[in-house]
Order: sequence, then C-alpha cells, then structure tokens
Amino acid sequence: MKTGLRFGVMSVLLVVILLVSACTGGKEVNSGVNGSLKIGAVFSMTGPNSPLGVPEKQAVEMQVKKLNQSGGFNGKPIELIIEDDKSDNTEAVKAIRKLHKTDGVVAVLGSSGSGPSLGMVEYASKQKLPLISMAAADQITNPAQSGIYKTPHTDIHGTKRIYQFLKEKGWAKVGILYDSNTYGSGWGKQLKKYAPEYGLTLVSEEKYGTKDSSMSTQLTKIKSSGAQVLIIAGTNPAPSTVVKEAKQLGLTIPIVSSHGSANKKFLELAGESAEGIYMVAGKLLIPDQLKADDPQTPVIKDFVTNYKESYLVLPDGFAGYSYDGLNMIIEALKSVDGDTSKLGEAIEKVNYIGVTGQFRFSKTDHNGLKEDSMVILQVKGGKYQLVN
Amino acid sequence: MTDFFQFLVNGLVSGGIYAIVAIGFVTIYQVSKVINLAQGEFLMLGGLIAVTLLGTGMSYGLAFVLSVLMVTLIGMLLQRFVVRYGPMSNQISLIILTIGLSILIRGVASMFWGKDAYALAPFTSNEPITFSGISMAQQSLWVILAVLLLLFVFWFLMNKTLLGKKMYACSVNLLATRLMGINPNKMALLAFAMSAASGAIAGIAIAPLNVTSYDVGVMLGIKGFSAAILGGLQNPIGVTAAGFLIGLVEAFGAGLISSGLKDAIVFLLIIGVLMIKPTGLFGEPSVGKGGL
Repeated sequence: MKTGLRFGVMSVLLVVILLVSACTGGKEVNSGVNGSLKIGAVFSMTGPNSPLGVPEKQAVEMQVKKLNQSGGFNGKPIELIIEDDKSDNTEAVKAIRKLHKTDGVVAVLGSSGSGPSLGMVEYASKQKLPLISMAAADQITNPAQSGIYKTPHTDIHGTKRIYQFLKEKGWAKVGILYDSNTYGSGWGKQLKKYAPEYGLTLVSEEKYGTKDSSMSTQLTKIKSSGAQVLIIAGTNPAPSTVVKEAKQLGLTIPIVSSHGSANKKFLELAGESAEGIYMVAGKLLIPDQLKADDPQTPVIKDFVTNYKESYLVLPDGFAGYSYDGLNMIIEALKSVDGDTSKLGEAIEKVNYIGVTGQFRFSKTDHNGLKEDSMVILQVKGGKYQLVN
Repeated sequence: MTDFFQFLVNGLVSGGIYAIVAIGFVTIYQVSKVINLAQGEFLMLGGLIAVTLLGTGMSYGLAFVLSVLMVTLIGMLLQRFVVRYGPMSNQISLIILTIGLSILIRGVASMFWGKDAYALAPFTSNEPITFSGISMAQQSLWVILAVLLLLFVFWFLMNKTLLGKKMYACSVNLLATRLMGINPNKMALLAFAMSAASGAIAGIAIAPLNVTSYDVGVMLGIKGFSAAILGGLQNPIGVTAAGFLIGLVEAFGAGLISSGLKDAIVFLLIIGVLMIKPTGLFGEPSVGKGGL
C-alpha cells in the first residue's frame, strides 16, 4: 500500500515536471514587425554566468535602440530577439533552434559561456546560420568554420601580452598559479607553451580549485621557488584571495593577474592588498587614460558615454564583447547590401574597430584580435592605471 | 625547513576552519542523530549578514554579535518550524530535508545578496605576523582562537553540565528521556541554536581570510562534514582533531606532492580510514538508538 502510494506520488511529480519543462520550451513567440531585420541573441541572463550575460544583453539593447532611432538598417527597423540559456548547454541549443526556426533570424549573437557557445556552434555551422560568440574558449573558432566568429580576447592574447611585459621588465623566472577549471587550465596550457618563445623559465606551476578557501600552500611553494614574478589565472573571487594571502605570507614579488579578474569587483574584494598588482585587460577598463592617437579611443569613449547614460554604471569587458559582435553583423550586412545569404562570409571581410580591439579576420583566424589590443594595468590608489 | 613550518601553519589554519564546521555537525548529531547538511549555510549567513550590518556603519563588535544572534534565530526557526515536523522516525528523510533547507537558504541568499562575492575587513590589523620567515595573517590567529574557544565551551557544556547530559540522553533513548521529564524538542532546539551560533561565529571569523558569497557554504560544508565523519561524529574533540588532520594533509599534500591533487589525497585518506575503521578515527561502535 505504502509503495503504491509512493509510486502514485512519483508519477504525478513526473508528469508535473514534464508539463513544466514542455511549457518553458514553447515560450511566447515574438511577433515580428513586418519587414524588420531580425537578429537573435542568446545570453546567460540567469545562472552562474549571469554576471556576463546581463551586461551583454544591456549593451546590445542599447545599441539596437540607438540604431533604430537613426533609421535602423536600410530603413528597416532592427528587431533584436533575446533568449536566456540559463547558463545551460542544452537550453542554449534549444534557444538557437527557436531563434532560427521560429523567429527566422539572420544571425545570432551568443552565448556568454564557453559550454553553451560550443553547443550553439555545432547547430549554427550545420544550419549555415552566422554566429558570433561572446565566450572565451579557443575551440569556438579553432579550427575556423565558415560563419562562426567570436569577439573576446583569448588566453593566447593574454599570455603573449603578459610575456611581452615580463620581457621588458627583465623578469625571467616565472611562477604560475591557475584555477583548475576550463578557464584557468586554458591559461596554464598557453603560459607553458609560449614561455620558451619569450625566453622565460617557469620555475613553479601550481593549481587551485575554484572554491578553495585558501591558496597559501601554493604561494609558499612559489615563494621559495625563486620566481621573480607570479602570474595568476582565474576568475573572481579567487584571484583576490590569492593577492590577500600573498600579502599575509610576505610574498613580495610582482603579481600579474589575467583578464578574468580585471574588473571593479577585484579592487573591492582585495582591498588594500590589491595595491601594486598588475593586470592584463582590454582597454575598456581605462577609457580616460587611452592615447589620443589610438584608433580605438573614440569608439571606446563613445560606448562608455552611451552605456553610462543608459545604465548609470561603467561597462565592463563583457558588455563590449556583445556590442562589437552586433556592430560587426550590421557592418557585414551593409557590405553585402542586406543580402543575408552572404552574411556568414561577409563578416570575415569586415574591418572593424571595436571597443575590444581591432578585428581583422582571415580564413584561418575567426577571432581577429591581436595581443596589442590588450594593455597592462597596475592598481594604484585603488584604481587601475595604465602601465603600458 | 621554513617551507615545512609554513605548510604546518597553513595546514593548521585550514584545519581550524574545517574543525569549526565539524563541531556544528556533531552538536546537532549528538542530540537528534540528524546530520544537518545545511550547516555550511550558517557560515555563509554569518559572513554575509556581518558584511551587510557593517555596511550600515555599525561598529564591528555590534555587527558581530547581531549577526551571530540573527543566525542563531534562523537556526532555531528552522528547527522549530521545519525539522521538528519532519519524519521523526526516519533519519535518512530528515537528512534529505536538511539538504532541501540548504538549497532553499542558498537560493534566498542569492536573491538577497546576489551572486557576487563580498569582502569583510579583518578583526584586527591586516599586517601579517612574521616569525623567522614564517608568516600568517592576524585573522588566522583569530580563527584558531575561535576554534579552541568553541571547542572548550561545547566540551564543557556536553560533559560537565546537567543540560549537556540531558541533550546527550535524547540521542541515546528518546522514550526514556521523555519518561525522565526531559523535553527532546527543547533539546533539539537548543542543539540547532548552538550549532547555528558556532556556524555564524566561524563564518565571520574566516570571511576576512578570503571572500564570502552566497555559495561559500557548499565547499565548507563538505570539508567540515568530512572532518566530522573522519572524527567519528561522537565528540567535539575527536572531530576537531580530524579537522586539523585534514587541513594538515591538504597543506602537506599540496606542498610536497602536487597542488592539483590535494583534494584527492585528502579523500583517499578518508576512504582508507573508513574502510579500516568504519566508525571514524575517534568513534565508538554505535550503541544508541541507531542513526548513521
């Protein structure tokens, strides 16, 4: 009897779960304005990637509004259809399928995270749907596939830019400490690969877990390894814990952190321990300190002003990734006079100066950025200052 | 040699953190034979409430006391209105209930504080203490002090007072305890209050060492639970020793073998110990009314 009851309850639950998931699958369909240009976007607006997805969404919404105020595209209003993948790979694929089949978008932006993006890449390349991703993973555009692009800097750019800086400073013995997750291990791989090219020696290589409460043992080993500089690769909050503990352990060598921690939050979390820390980052972080002759300067200033007006906060790098992606789609469409069938190839030929960097794609490079679009910053007086 | 002592110090500090969580597990388990898997959330709440109160410009001492009191109250409410009405006869269901509670608390916390991490200022100065090449944060000293203090209070309460005996009696024989005129519900409420308070103190003490966020309780809960199991779930002293042992194994494992393998080394040790001695290092075979 008891088992029968339990079975009953279980099956009712199962039916409810199925119903609920079926309902979310068939979310309301945006009824398109006739003759509008439809662009799709998938961002992680909820779930662990939401700190990335939310600014990405805000940036493109702002830009579409601005473009539509000045007449849209060739007189047609641009309609942006945004889906939330909830930081989930399956949801992302469902979302891109919906955008493609139901809404009939001409191109898709997204997603915020590497996992969801890779799922979407597979769908988009099969369906010949142009896609620009905002995620970090190198595999998204390596090998380069027709119509698939990504806007953020990769760990290769970051590694090369840091090594260039170390070489200038003459710090040849390097200790590295990275997160054992996808982001950190990617960096670990590149840091090891490119060190000989810049004449640097890795004297210590340590890892930590994303949720570890302490990294002081790793730092102890680095301290006694004779390293002249420490490179940390991880996303917040771990790097702020590392710099706090480094100070407490009396580790006095310079520390360079990856762009995964380059934001205001790092300064807030690390507090006074952040002083003197170097960081590799996109130029968007220091709009006021850019050189006047840098072609990116006016683009960044314009973006920062608009974003601040719309949302009252300064944009971070993520906002820039989706902003650049949207603008490149529009640029490419202009170059082929709105012929959406040629859009995938047209993006490759676009020569676009964005807030993230200058994009120059080629047959084999669908990221299009160079390491010189990143800068080295140092924390001074609780602020990021441009070093070089 | 300096490295060796530095690893020792690092291990003791991490071990202290695990021990302080483990004490919370044992307190509730001893009274109600329930493993409260929401223990890690008490730490999270302690840290985050302190951050918020300090943000209002309150003095550190007052914020500390108020956060501990608030978390204690939350712990008591959970026992009074949720756990008490759980299936009393079935420990496994009760444990699953606490998993549900932990997810609920984390969800509410992520709505209230968002998913960002927060920093908490250290109790005393941020200058490290250095002694012949070995350094530690002043805050680490506070953590160890908090462990020892809580350990003493709990040990004294459980072993030297009538109240402690009453609480312990509940876990040995519920019916007999009732017949002796002891209200087991009251004892369980007290156990939740104590364990929530210790969790809040721990959460505030360790937050300045790194950062605190809505999900910080998960990892701390797992490590603390491991310490509680390794120590045998019977007395606060045993699990404290196990907590320090885990911290030390972690530090030396990371220091002398590989930082990528440190968790694997710890859990291998725990599995090994439990295979040889299923009751944990300091546990005796269960003679009470069951439980795990």
